[in-house]
Amino acid sequence: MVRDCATVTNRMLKYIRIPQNGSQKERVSLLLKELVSLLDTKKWCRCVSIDEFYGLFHIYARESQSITKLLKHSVKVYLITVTLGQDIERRSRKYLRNNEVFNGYIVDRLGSFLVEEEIRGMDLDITQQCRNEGCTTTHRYSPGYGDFSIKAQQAFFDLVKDSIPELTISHGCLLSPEKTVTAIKGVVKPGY
Amino acid sequence: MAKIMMHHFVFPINALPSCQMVDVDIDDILWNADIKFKALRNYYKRIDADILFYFHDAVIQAEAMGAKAKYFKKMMPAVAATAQVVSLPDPAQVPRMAVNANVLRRMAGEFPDKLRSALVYGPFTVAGQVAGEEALLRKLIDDPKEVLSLLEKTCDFAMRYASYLIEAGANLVWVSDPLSVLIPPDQFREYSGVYLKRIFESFPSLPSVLHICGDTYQIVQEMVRTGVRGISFDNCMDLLVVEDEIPDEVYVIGNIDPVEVIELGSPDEVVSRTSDLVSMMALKDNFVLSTGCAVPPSAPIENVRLFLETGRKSFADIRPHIPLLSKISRNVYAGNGEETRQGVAAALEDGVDPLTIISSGLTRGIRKGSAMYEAKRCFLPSILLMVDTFYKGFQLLEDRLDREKTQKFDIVLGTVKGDIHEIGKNLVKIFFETHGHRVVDLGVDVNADAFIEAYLNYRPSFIGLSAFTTESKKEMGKVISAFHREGIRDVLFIVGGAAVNHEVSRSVGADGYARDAVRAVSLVEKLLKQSKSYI
Repeated sequence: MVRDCATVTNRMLKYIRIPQNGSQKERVSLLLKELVSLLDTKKWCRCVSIDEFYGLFHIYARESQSITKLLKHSVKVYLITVTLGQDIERRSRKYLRNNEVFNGYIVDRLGSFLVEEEIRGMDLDITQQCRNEGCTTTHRYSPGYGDFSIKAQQAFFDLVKDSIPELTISHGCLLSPEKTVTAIKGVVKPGY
Repeated sequence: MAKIMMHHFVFPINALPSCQMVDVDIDDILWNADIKFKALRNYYKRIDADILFYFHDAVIQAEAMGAKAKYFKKMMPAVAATAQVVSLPDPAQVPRMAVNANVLRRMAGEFPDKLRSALVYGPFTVAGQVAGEEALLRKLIDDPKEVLSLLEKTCDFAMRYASYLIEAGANLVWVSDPLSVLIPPDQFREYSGVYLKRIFESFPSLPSVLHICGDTYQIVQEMVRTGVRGISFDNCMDLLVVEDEIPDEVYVIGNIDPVEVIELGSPDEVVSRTSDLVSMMALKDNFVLSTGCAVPPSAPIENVRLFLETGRKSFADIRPHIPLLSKISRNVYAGNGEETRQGVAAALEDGVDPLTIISSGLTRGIRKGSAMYEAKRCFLPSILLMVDTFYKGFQLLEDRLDREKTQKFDIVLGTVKGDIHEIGKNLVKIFFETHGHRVVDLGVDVNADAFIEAYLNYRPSFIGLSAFTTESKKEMGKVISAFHREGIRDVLFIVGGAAVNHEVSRSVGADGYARDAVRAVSLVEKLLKQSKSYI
């Protein structure tokens, strides 16, 4: 969860392209506070063996050269999912319906920023933990990047749905709530 | 002085279509004062412009200084060879310059109340013609002293020629300097600006205009520093971007496309583009309506006349309301919601037509923001604040509008099948609406059949397809193919979204790609103009 609004504010302003000294900054800070009160963050993480990963993600992973390359020396794979809940997109749509376009857009962008922050935090935790165990990690990779099909989210969904029951998936394999991110991260055995 | 003399003037640059008024070839007009004067008198009797030109050509100074010119029957002359020896003759002894002085003398008698331009070409441009353009640009690096020495001569000769024309009857100094746009912005002042300044300072009692063709965004400030009284902008320039850089005492002159609109456009196109430009720019007290460059010889004179007539009428329509509309536009641009509402209420109370309030007040603010965004001078959130402000003012007008009259064309929008992302599409919808277009939003996860059904119901001019994921971008091609299979080809497809770029746009067979909502609006307006020009 976002523990300290002030810490992330500057990075966030850059992300959503608001001048640091502009009059819009204050308005964005208020929207951020509003947003934090709407967060219903849920995280899910599991570490599987490389064989288990290829079993779970079979065709999507095997058809992807990016994944093959990424996990070439991995022995384990972390599967990660974060969702911020549905209230953010509801609030964004409400603003847009009321012709408060700035608020609608900023709430949406802030949601994207915050969900990225969450998964980034999990990524850092995993990296640190692996480092403590003497292993290195690959970088994080999500379905939809490069040739790793978005359809791989179906495999994520099947794994996560019991832990995060409000999660749904469309026939195009997009997850709802919109501010949900899935990713994999390989753990490389010592020596590589 | 200049301010009083050109306020809300209307004129086309040069008088080349006047060649249609006499039954001789262009090369005969250039050498014969009687024929030239007859062509110009008949032309200006027919079109009644506020600033007159003498059918000038681009090579006259270079030719007089030693370059070889080539003449054509149906085209303007061109430089055929550079000068072996650079000379500085007396303009009165140069036959074609004497023709022009003769013509200006007679124009002063025929049109005593008009501004008659002493048009000369700028020192850098003439230096390029005399020495060869590529050679001159190379010498900026290899031998800058030689360039400066040549510029002294071309500047001196430009001033002599301008003086000669002014003595004959011209009362405005006009310098066209197309080659100067090629000088790197940081060198403009040294190789062009100082010489232009010298010319304008030589005629302090006369109004003056500087015209540099092409994209001059980077040198606007330097153009102002020449001390010129008016800057004429090419039609590729967005005047809303540069207007704040021009001091109130300097005229912003421009910039209807002389080819696409005046020469090739239909009369309807001439009227709509001219009135649109005036509705945007007339709020600036220092705006002068003109063309973005010289009108070509073969342009229909009726289109030129229509341009002037429409311009004057549009100025007259908007003039009484300028203070109120300026205030609204400024407040939209600044994102001041409450002030915008108050401005719209005051304009309504003053009897201003709601459509005028929208086009010259509310939409002007948004268009300026969009233009600044496209010029990379502001970020998207700033424009969204302007959009919020637009809506605050628009609420007061909504019930008073005849929707059929206000909406320009229909567009159907949707995020394609398999994709549920909607924020980008929603922003596109909002931007189209603020520009007066009717949008049918099909929502997200829309398949080809639904797009075809919407097309059959609404007959839109455009269909906008949005895709966020790499998978869904393939769906765009399926939608477009489905239309083609049904034999539907009279609708244009625009595409956008995080998964899309120009290459994807081409590969799926779309007519255009827009990176964001602001650019989507300018894209469809550009495509619409192109599709009209094919009809």
